[in-house]
Amino acid sequence: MLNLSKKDKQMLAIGLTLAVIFVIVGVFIFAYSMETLDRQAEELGVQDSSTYQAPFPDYAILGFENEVGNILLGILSTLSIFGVTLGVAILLKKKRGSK
Amino acid sequence: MHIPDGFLSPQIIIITFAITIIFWIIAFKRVKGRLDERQVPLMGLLTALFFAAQMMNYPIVGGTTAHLLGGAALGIILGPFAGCISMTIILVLQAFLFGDGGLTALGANVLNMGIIGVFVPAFIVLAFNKITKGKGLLVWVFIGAFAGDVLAAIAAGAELGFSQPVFQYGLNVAVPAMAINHSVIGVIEGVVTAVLVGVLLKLRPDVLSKSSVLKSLPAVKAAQENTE
Repeated sequence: MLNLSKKDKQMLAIGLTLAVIFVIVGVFIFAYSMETLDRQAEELGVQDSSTYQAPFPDYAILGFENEVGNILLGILSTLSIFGVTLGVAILLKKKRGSK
Repeated sequence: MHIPDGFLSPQIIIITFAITIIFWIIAFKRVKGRLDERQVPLMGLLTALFFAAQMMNYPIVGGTTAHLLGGAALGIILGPFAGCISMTIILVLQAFLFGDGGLTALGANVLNMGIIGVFVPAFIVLAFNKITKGKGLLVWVFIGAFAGDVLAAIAAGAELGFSQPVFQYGLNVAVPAMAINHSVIGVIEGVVTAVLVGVLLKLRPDVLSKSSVLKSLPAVKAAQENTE
């Protein structure tokens, strides 16, 4: 299905470790979010009118909204995105023997 | 830069979805059966890496924050069509799992961050690579990433401005505010993208050999010949 060289495995290990560090830094240091759009919406009184209820609103597990929960969710979702993209990429990949 | 539900007019929702769907069809057709085995782990890794990087909110101007987009790196390193698919995966999962970006605004968010934010940097780097034969590559990577972020922000501002009266600020307010604030994150995006491309060129030029943007570089060509 997928042949990974030693260099590929090293690249994945370093890259995924970096992703975990980003999640931790995102939770502890760069957590506060007030984007330009949020600020404008606040000024105008425009509100998100979504009827769809996301399972993890604002990147938090409902009832477990603390740093540990946010880091766990961040890491699990990063790994899930990695898995989903890998799956999509395998489906899109060149067939063996084709030019 | 993720636009939530309720900020865009129905006309803008329809137009942005129409453009995005056309790009999705072209991107899947262009990538299907052509993605090299060496690009598979890289695509998974970069997508995960920039999903995580988007969780870091940097303070910019006037008490507002912004996060990296990652579209420039995805477009330049994977090629714009694969990069568009990667960014789409991030944006779809963010909308469905975390409510980050509205479902009705998904077309606009993909258009801004997954098409403009990916294709603009890729084309800038590709064009200047052809003209300068790879000289000053990282400078062009920086400029491409910066331009990608700012143009994505301008597009988001324009979509909001054209959505009056749903979003009351017109183009004259929405566009400059988005462009000025995102030019700050554009500088950070430029530096991060240039560093990432520089590191890959030095350590793993072989994985760049299938990028339509970087494959003509001498270092990448040499690495490709060595692996064959």
